[in-house]
Amino acid sequence: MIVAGFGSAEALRRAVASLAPEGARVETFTPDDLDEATEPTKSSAVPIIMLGAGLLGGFGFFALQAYGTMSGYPINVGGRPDFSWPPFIVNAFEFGVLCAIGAGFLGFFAINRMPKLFIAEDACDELREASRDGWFLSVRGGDPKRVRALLDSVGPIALKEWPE
Amino acid sequence: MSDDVVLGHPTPAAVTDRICGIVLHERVGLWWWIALAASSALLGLGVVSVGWLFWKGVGVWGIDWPVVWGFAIINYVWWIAIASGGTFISALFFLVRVDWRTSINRIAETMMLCAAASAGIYPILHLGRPWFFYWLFPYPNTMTLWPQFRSPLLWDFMALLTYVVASVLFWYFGLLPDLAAMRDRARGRGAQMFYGVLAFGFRGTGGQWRHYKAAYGIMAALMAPLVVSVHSVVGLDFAGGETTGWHSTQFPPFFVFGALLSGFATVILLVIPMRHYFSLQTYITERHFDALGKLMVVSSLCMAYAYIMDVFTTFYGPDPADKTMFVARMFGRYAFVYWSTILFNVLLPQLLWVRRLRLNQPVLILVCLGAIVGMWFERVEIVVTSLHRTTLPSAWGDYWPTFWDWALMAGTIGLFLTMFLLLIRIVPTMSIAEMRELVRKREA
Repeated sequence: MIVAGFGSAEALRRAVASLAPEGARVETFTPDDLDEATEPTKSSAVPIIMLGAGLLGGFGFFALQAYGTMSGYPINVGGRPDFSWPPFIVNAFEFGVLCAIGAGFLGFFAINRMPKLFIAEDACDELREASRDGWFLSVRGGDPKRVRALLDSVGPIALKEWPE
Repeated sequence: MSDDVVLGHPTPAAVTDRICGIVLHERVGLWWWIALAASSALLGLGVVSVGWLFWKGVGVWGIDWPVVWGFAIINYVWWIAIASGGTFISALFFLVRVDWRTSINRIAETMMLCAAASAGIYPILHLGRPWFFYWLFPYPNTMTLWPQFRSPLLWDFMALLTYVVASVLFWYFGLLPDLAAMRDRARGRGAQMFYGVLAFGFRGTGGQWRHYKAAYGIMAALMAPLVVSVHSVVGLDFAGGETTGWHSTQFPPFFVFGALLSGFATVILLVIPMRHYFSLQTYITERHFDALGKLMVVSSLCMAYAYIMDVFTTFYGPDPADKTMFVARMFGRYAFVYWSTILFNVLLPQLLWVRRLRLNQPVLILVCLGAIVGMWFERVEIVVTSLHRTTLPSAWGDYWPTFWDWALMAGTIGLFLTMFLLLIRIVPTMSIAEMRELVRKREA
């Protein structure tokens, strides 16, 4: 495995681009979203999960209220029909939002397979700079010699190689 | 005056080191220990008063017929409004990409969390039998009972539950990249493990950032309407009752306006000492006070509109009981409450039209303290003066809080301050990740 750090986002992007034809597995570690400027079209599944959970929670709670007032415990309040649904919208909205935010929180961890407190790349101490101002990548597989030569050509500020 | 949101040209690395350093490497000043001792003492008083309340029941409070809602509701609404103002800054201003929000967003969110905790204990405590609070939730039970879904009081339970849980998740989610930065800067093994576990293994990989940004944006987009709904529902707690002074369609927006005013005021009151004691002048500049001061003026004008409409609809409307109550509100024994509300919420904030006064911190502190006190008086006005002159003159009565009312209120202030003081020593006081992004974009 090779871990290399660069001084700028541009340098890291160049390094990632140069490694693309090598068929190696590349992962980036950055203090800010690297993709934001270059690949805005790359989408995330989290919004869909949040939408689904929000709709399910909202409509589910609406149905629960309808069942409760129509079948579970019908009670005449001011002569209103049992299915006097407009007041149910408030609870349905609140519960829908709760489900959506909860699903976003949990969905983020599930998609990223977190919590993952230790990873192989931690062997490179310099990787800590990735949460400060260092732009890092790790490379698994590929031809180590070629990968190293390509990374050296971009000019890394830190580079560590060790057998996987 | 500088219009910059950040003074000078700090690098992303300097931003990270500075903000992490406040928590990880800097010793706290004497002021922190004094503040913690005072707030813990208040919290202790609160714990004693809760114990006494559980032992004796709600009779230890000053509530009685006809004023059956007293400090518990007043302070609940007051606290939840303060919390809501913090959410506006963190969620709404994130969505509209306001650059000055970045420096004060974490302070606003942490404030929101502490205020929501102080608000959240009141609905439980004000129940005559607090151990049955879960009856509010629709759960399968042997009594085959269901909660009354048409009642605003049940909406309030759902809204508060959602708000507190969503606030905690939103706050924590926003912290993830910063907790990772703290883990990587921590020197001691204990601190590394503590922040390492809290960061859940966030390392800023491409996938993590992509999903993080998407999830955070949508959470913010949900938090903004959520906070409006929560405070509207609090307004509906009152408007839903056919009580003089409460039965008004303007209550939901009226309450949201109040939330803005008291929330912004509290954020300013916390930002000023933190800027001073943590030497954050680089990141919290005159631009912030200017913007927050303008927001105070705007929300104060919204309040003025609501107060005018309150008078107008009462005297334009047909109900003589409403008019009798309102005359008593303005000129009766609680007149000082009404006029204090007008003075502190409408008149005093008008000082901030003047730019020089917006940037004058003693004036800003005075106006904000006034707004917080004024908003508390407003809730006293709504709860107490409405109830003390009901439609039936033979049922008229007064309300005065007891020692235990005051003790519990002091306890919630203690809870708020203790939580806040502890949290600013554990988590970064600013969003490091967003601040890094801000300075990077400025330099670009």
